[in-house]
Amino acid sequence: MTETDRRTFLMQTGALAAVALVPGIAFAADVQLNAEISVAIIGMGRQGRAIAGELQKIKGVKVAAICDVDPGRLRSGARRVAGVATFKTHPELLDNAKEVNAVFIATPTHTHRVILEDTLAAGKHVYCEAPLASTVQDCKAIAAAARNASTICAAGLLARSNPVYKLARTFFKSDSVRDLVAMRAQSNDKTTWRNPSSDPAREKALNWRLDPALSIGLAGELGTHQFDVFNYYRGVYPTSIQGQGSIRLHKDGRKVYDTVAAMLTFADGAVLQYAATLGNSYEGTHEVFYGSNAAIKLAWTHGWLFKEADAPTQGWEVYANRQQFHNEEGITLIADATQLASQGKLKSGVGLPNPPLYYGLGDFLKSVTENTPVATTIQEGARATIIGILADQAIRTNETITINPNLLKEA
Amino acid sequence: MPISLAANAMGTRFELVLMDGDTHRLRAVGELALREITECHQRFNLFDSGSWLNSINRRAGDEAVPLDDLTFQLLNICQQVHRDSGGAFDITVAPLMLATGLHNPDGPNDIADLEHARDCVGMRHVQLDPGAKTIQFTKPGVSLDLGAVAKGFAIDLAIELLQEHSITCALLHGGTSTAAAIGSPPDQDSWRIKVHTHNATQPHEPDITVRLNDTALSVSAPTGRMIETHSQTISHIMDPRTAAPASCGAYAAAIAQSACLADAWSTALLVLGYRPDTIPDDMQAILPRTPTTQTQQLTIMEGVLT
Repeated sequence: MTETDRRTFLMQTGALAAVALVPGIAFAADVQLNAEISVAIIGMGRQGRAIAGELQKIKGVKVAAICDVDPGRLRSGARRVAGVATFKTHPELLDNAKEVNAVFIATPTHTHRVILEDTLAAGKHVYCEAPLASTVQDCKAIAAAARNASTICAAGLLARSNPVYKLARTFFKSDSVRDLVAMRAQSNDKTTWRNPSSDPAREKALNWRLDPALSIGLAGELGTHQFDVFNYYRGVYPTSIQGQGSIRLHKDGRKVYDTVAAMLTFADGAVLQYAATLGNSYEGTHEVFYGSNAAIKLAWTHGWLFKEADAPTQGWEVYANRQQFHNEEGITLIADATQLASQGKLKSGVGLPNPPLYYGLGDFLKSVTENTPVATTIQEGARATIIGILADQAIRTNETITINPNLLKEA
Repeated sequence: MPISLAANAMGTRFELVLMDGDTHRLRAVGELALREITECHQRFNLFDSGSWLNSINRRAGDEAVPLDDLTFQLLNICQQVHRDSGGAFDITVAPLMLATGLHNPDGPNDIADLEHARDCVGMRHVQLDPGAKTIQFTKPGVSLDLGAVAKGFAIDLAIELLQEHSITCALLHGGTSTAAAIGSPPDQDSWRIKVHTHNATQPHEPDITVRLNDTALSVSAPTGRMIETHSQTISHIMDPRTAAPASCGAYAAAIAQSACLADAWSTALLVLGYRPDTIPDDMQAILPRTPTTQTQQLTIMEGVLT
């Protein structure tokens, strides 16, 4: 079907199509596994602990082993996981925790490659946190290792598992947005990004994100997750990136920028404006697709549709829950709106009942226990990471970087 | 120079003051400590269907749910305070709070729900297995509410982390009702906290100044969320022994080594209205001279948090 034919078809059937799309999705259901599974977590920093917390809620999952080179983090992690074996290094864990089937890697970005390769070589399924690596070379190596592995390997990018994002994507694809005119993403937080240690000798290792030799900056560490959203929705990657950054708040001797902006241009001329800061948390992390009919705003646990005044009204909007943002009215993107409305529970359908991480972990565990395709492949993770690395390079050098499509294909 | 940080969690604002050290390091350590609190909020929030607490509430009626050390430690403290307070403190009040509308935006449920909810209240329905480190409910419909203790527990974890990072001078409070201190401000022997106890009906009730140094304070009062029914106004403090709103005094405060214990005991003391013999020896209880039900508030004093 050509673009014009598709649009005509959707205009004729728009209301019906939208209503039909919504109830078809099993929205944000609790993760149910059809088999028990024993897993391990390598890296018990903030993300490792978050993974442990979400796994704890999934019936049938036994976190059998954890590992961290930092004794404080290992001790702290052990208090949060029931009956778990602890190891100082990942080789010790892989040598001893034989009952473990799947491993979650949540260590510093630049250490992922070695751990992932060793874990796959040990015959374990792997979920590797994103960004996958801090160099393009490591991204390619990780993608190759996953391709050659006999076990399942998934990237820890969450958009493709997120029920709100999956639902909003159906709206995006169904012409609710119509002609895409612009895209925007931001990641705002007020935090130092500094990790203290009770052991001064460990302080440097823990602060790898502030080490210019190891860090891929805000665009790499945070932007990677968001760049994958735009690929998930549009199926294309940018062709060039411009950027700049500065240290606006945390003037503590750091060299890694605490505030950055980048412009990612696509082959069709569309532009994604990206901004991130560690100096202000206003509106947190979100992505926006601006179209001629509506804008879709995605904020990880919530999504909204902001319609233009001249956009056609669709039947399902009768049941929509709405939120006011100054002069704008956002239609909250929720599934099963018709059913929820009939039960008088429309508001209870707003937002995810669990954090996005829960659904990402759940999808991976289902892939392992049911041998189904993963939600986010390592290849998709590697490409998003490469975009993040190149965005960081553009920001650091203040130069336009042209992206060689072959670079992404190799991943 | 003192460093001040804050975080919103558990329906209130936590504020942390750190002194005596490199400011960049203090800020980083402070962020880590506040992260302990937001993590506790995420895990033990009854109003978040995705919390660990609600996962326990959904599953423990059907099976023994394995608990991590921290959760087991918290529930163990709750069981201990329940026992020592003669049942005046009880984390199984969740169904009752829901049935009376105190946890329900749509208002009270019907009478049948209320009767069932009353049956579900009681720690006798909760089996904590210290060997297997599991929890199981022995009656369908039992549900835990950690609202009276989670704030204190989170503060304890944050204080512990600050101490692990060699912080020697800090004050942390949650919603100005629970506070804990490490050391004392320079040139002083303690952090001084003023509890406003006077009110319109009792203008002569003197304010109390509490001194904290490596100790914690918690204050409970029957103010806050109230529910209007056809015949009365119900305070958010329930007496678990009668499964009815508590007829309590204006406030109750407890001072202890642990903010968690102080938090739990301030609720128990409010319900009891007196200091029981079974209270731990090192727990200091503060109760009003005369019972009333007017507002009180806790204010952090002495210049640092003004």
